[in-house]
Amino acid sequence: MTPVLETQNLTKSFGGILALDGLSLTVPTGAIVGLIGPNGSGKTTFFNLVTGVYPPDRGQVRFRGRIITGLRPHRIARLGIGRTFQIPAPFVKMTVLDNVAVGAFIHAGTLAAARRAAAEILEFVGLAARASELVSQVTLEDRKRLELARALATRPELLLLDEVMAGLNPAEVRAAVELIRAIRARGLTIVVVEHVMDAILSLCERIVVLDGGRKIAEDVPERIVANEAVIRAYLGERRSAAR
Amino acid sequence: MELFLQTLIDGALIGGLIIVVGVGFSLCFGVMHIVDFAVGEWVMLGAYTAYWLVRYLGQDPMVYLPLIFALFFAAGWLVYPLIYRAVSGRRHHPALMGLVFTFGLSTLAKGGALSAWGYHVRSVSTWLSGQSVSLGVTTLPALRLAGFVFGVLTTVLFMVFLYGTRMGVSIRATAQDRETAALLGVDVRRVGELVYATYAGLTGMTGVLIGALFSIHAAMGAKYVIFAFFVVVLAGMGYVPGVIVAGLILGLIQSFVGVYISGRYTLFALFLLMYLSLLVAPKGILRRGL
Amino acid sequence: MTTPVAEVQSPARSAVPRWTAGALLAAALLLLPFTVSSFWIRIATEVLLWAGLAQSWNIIGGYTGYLSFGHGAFFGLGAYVTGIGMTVLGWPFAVGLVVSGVLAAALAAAIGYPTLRLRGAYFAIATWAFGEMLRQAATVLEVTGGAFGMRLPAFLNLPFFYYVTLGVSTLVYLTTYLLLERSPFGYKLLAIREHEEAAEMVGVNTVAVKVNAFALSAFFPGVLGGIYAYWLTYIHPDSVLGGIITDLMVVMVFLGGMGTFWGPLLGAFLVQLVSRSLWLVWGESTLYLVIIGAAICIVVLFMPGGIVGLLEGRRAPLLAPRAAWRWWRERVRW
Repeated sequence: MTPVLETQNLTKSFGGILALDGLSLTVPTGAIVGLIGPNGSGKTTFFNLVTGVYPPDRGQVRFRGRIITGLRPHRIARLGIGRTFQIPAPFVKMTVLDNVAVGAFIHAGTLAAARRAAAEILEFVGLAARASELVSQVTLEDRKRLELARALATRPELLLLDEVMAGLNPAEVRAAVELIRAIRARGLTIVVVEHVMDAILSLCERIVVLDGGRKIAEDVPERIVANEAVIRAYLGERRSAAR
Repeated sequence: MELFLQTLIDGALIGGLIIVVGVGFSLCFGVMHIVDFAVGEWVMLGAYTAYWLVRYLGQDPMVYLPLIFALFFAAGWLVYPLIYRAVSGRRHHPALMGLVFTFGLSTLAKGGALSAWGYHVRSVSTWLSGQSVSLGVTTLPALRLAGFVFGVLTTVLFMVFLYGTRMGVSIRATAQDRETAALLGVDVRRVGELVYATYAGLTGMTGVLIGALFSIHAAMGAKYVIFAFFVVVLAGMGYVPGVIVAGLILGLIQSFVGVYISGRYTLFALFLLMYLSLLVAPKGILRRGL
Repeated sequence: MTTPVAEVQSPARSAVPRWTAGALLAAALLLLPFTVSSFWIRIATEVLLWAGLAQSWNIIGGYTGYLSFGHGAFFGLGAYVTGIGMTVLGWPFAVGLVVSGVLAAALAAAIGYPTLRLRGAYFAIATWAFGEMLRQAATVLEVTGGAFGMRLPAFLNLPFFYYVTLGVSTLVYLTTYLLLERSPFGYKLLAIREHEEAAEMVGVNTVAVKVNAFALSAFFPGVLGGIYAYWLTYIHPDSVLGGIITDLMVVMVFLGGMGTFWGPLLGAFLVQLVSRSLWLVWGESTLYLVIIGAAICIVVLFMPGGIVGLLEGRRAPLLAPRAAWRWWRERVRW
């Protein structure tokens, strides 16, 4: 079965900084793959390259076997890749419902249909109560859910989550993990960038570790935590956190 | 051949002067992300100030250059907090607000000038006007040469400041990454003030020379807004070294179109080139813009 | 922008009075030429004209967040196209209007394509330069009559122009209502304004949408320009391509409320009111520009949401004057 996402030798520099150095990885359909690494290791750059924010200097991205390198973000979104931002980027002067509805426009032709689809998704992520509130009045945790809901509204096959759990307390983290599992149960493939180790370890079947723009490990969670290179990359601090 | 050379030199000379305006304008955008629509008005006000100073206090307008720099520096220093307020913090769409605000300022200044000084076209002359300097093959109008020298000197001094002093480093750092610069202890607000005030001062001074070279009237600002825009579009917004090249190109186009076709078509030529540049090289010809 | 929340927040009003108010207004507008003197018909026509122009600017400036500082050029273009069409090419008025609108939209799309791909600042600059250039062109070209302007065939029928203007401006508002307030297109524009990158990420083709919005926003000023030309019979570069036209559009929308449906109407009405009163007091004056400029600055500093923004109670920055003065004073401590 064609993997949902396949990248080959992805390379990207910004000025003098090599953000990503020949990254090749494969994401099998229906999996939840974790992407971890110290700050600056290239995780967000990877997401940006996959979603078309900028083109890579070298390398290809294949989505369901089809080359999508160099396509504009909106085309990639329409093809079926959804993504959340590290810092939520909602449409501030619109209501929660309408924020999600914008995502639904890909599939819904009218405002009413889009709003209906959006309402369903809000129900699914647990934000239904806040549907008619303006985003400016909504908390950070809810804004992160909103990000997620909006990405889901585009009916993606692949979902890229960028640190959705940053800033959440343990209870909220658990809720987020459940939600992500529920999303996968709906048939999506998910790549999760996270620093919250517990979540990543319990959620993902495979973890890819980046450091300095390169993949230094790719394995199941149990073996990743014992991996020498990984521990070194995190300078040993994570050792206790990972236990 | 003679005409060609003359046109070439003429263009380069004017270009050299425009560079000063372009550098300040580009830096304004690079450091504070503000597009100052009022740039043409600073030129106009500089020209008028020189005119009135000469009218009431006599002396050659060049004598007043330092004074005018100081005056306009102060004016910029006073205006900047307003601009800052227009783009700051809780407001949504700071870029939008900044644009509209400076647009409003420019309208205000133009209206004020028209109301105060009417539609008369005036001019200012200096001891350099009408004099020429001969450099071997050609003779150059002394004033144009002076303008060019002024342009070059000011630009060089400014570059030295930007690249050779601590404050200059702070300014460039803020232009590259405002947040990090702030975290590293750079007083970002002060940097903004300094940049804007300096830009106002320099542009005002340039206005004096322009007033001496060409004519002075309340609506003259519009042309220089277009010039400043043209220069930064070609150079790439915020990329200062590119301004030098772009400024010269501007001068040359002005000159050649004016001589070989007609002065009335210079704006077209500039617009066309600007349009093509945006189409083909949105980050400036050297692709180093923001 | 009226989202469901705003409607819920306003006091419960029954539908019946709103209907009758609307009907009364419509009747008043339709019967106006029969009830008042030509002096007032002229003023009403101008107010309607500006209401239409302001709302058109609002489409690209307010809803989409891309400031077109040369928008008056489309108005002037329409005026000249209709003028040239009717005098040189012998077109009937209606044809002139249609061509004016279409040409304006086409030109907008042409300019919009390279500039809307970039930041808003480039777009503002480019449209502004375009406006200046067009005025130069009109002053220089023979076919436009150069700096002396041109005359159109005389047709002195004030009520006719009143109704045509009423019709077109109503069309502007209707289009804005249907396409921007009540359809995905409008919400896409808002999304672009609020966070363009995120909009692109959820499948909005931002460039195409922006270019369409810009073309739409240029169409009506083109038509209105044509009407204006035929109405006044005589046009010249300063009267239809002067920068003040854009200035007025900007201040009207800003004052009324950027990106709101009623803002431009409110703004147009108020600005016309003030300018007429001033005209009575001062006569033709360049002080007008000073006031417009100051008005723009003040609105940006103290009420960026415009009047509609104030009424919807979103932000109350009117406390600002004192704070601003204090803040400025502490800066000027040398």
